[in-house]
Amino acid sequence: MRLLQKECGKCLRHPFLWIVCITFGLFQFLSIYTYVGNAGMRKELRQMHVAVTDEETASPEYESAYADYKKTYGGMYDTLDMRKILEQKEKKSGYEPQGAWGMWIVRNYDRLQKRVEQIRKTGEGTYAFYPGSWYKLHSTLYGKLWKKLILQTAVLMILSMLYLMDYERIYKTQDLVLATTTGKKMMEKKMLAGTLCGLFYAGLLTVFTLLVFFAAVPFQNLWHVPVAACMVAEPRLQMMYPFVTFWRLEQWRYSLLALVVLVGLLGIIAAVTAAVQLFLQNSYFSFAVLGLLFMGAYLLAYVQMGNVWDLIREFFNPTVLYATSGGWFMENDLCLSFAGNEFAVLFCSGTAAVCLMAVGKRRYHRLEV
Amino acid sequence: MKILIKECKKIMDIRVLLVIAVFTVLFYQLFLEVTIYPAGGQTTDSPYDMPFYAELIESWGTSLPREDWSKLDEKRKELEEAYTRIIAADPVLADAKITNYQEFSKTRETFFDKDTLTDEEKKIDQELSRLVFEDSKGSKLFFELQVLDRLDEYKNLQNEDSISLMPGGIFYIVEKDMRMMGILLLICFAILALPYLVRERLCHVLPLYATTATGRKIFDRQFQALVVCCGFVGIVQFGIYVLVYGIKGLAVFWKGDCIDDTGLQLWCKNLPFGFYMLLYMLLVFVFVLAAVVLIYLIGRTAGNYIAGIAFAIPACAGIGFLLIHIFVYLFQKPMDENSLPYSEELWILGWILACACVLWWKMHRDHYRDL
Repeated sequence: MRLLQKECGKCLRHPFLWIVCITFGLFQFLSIYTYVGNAGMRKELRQMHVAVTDEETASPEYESAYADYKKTYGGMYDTLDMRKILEQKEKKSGYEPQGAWGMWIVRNYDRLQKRVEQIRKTGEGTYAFYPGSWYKLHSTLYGKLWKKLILQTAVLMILSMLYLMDYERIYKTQDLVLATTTGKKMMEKKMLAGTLCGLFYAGLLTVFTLLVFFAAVPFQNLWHVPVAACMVAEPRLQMMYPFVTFWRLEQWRYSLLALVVLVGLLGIIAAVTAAVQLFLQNSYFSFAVLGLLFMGAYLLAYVQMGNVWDLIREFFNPTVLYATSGGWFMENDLCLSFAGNEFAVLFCSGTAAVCLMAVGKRRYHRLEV
Repeated sequence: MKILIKECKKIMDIRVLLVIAVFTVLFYQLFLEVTIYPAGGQTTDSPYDMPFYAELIESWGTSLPREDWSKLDEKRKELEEAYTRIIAADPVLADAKITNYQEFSKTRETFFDKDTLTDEEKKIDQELSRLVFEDSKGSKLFFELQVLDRLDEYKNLQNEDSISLMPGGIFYIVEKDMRMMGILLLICFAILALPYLVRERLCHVLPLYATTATGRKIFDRQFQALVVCCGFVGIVQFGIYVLVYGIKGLAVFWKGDCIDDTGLQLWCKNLPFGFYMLLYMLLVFVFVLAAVVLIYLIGRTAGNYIAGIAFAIPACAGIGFLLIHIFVYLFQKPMDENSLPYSEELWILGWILACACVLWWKMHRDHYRDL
């Protein structure tokens, strides 16, 4: 425990990670300001918030605009046919899987159609919210900002881990440390300390981002609105249809689940970082290799073979979650439109990362002094 | 000279060069427009627009004088006849009695203006859309005809004696790619410089250098070696870009002038496009090479590799931000009449002066610092 504390202290006391965290925080602040934070946009959002939540005190102009929007898009579930959505998506993307794989995707969309019928019955789609295609709040927060957050927290996690894991080698005390069993076991404590510090910095950045966003976008009385509501819907792939979530997810539940996925991704990144560093024993090249690995994995996420290997490839590629950010827990990617796909990706990628880390640890323990 | 060569050898570590090579390939795939060309996104509607412009330029030159404007009508006739042959062979359109391109266009317009279509009309509309967006031959001809429509419109607005056949997309590609190349170079220079500089500190040789006058001159040689190596890497990177540019068939646009069919207003409209692109590359290169001073400062200050990376991230982010905002359409006429012309050059000059001041301060400190 004492060693863990000292390692964490080493990481938290050094100014460089704080500088990076503050830089990323400023970047997020500027991004939020650009998307929703400028004075004009904030004023408009406040007025629209009143129109959405309290019709009596709303400005007539905003009330009438909101009413018109609701009239146009409020009944999207009445004519929504998920099979047609599937056909259009396949045509637009040029991805038309055949055989058993194609049938499996069709079955997923049939299940989504049952979900649409459930939404129609329960009235989940009728809740009031900011007009989605005007303000695009869901894709701004969970798409654009969340993608930046994933990248930034990943960098913080990688830097925390590599700094601690390579500390002894850089300052030439590795031979002394590896001479004893306790010393060799210290690497595990370092990995844990690096992960905890990375999570700490990531937590700070995430809290800051969410605080700034929700300071700019009033959300009182809107936390219970389901993400599947018609008013939340935004245009995607030149089609306008609601976010068909796999189960009823209110805004607050969606935020929590998004945070869970973020923490899961950071865990995978920590494991992969540890594995690479244990293999390469050089923090600089580990950082470079990790960067190349994630760029390569991101490109691989867009390679399509039209068969079940697409699913296997996506399960073992955590960058797929980065690419689909903003579309988690809902109908989105053709191959991943089934409930729990995010957790399946986290589980499979996480298992692979942990196996790599275990192999790396064995190699490290066999290092000759 | 011997010291300079030895330092260059230390900087050009094969592992670092390999990382730079792989990074360059992935960066090209992710961020550069020239890689996705001729796919859309370059102010074009389809992958066929710009190759068609290239074909016209190869046949007629980069601008079409007034007396040759009839060539556009001849080309139109040729494309319409080819499209008519495709339409005539289509059974759905034959049933709907659409037999040529004129009827095809008219029907499309009619359906577009209607609020609702009957089932029969929907079937025909689907077939029309298929010929436009899905059938490769039909799609190619359709978008080539659209290019001719655009040139006809441009022709009617022009008071000059000729029209430019240069597409707006070519300027878009250069503008986007030069900024991304600047970011690529910045990251490559940082990857190259940081391990070398941090390694020198970790080997504890810096105090040793500083104990003698000859030793203190090594700091100058180290910086010069860094500039030479970064310069070499930068030249190779731009060479690769030009090679990819040529392989993609874009070299045909180099002989055109800096005028396009979208009304982009550049100060240098009489410059050949190839020279404009060369100037763009040179200015981006000089800007990023000046930034090597800051990378040198970070490398000399950082206590270890991770600290070096951590300090380099915000520094490179700041330089990248400046780069992206300065190099927006080089030599573009400012929207506001009171704005300074050639403002990019002033920014670059200011940047170089600032970096030179930082360099002078660092070199002066190295030469005279009391240990």
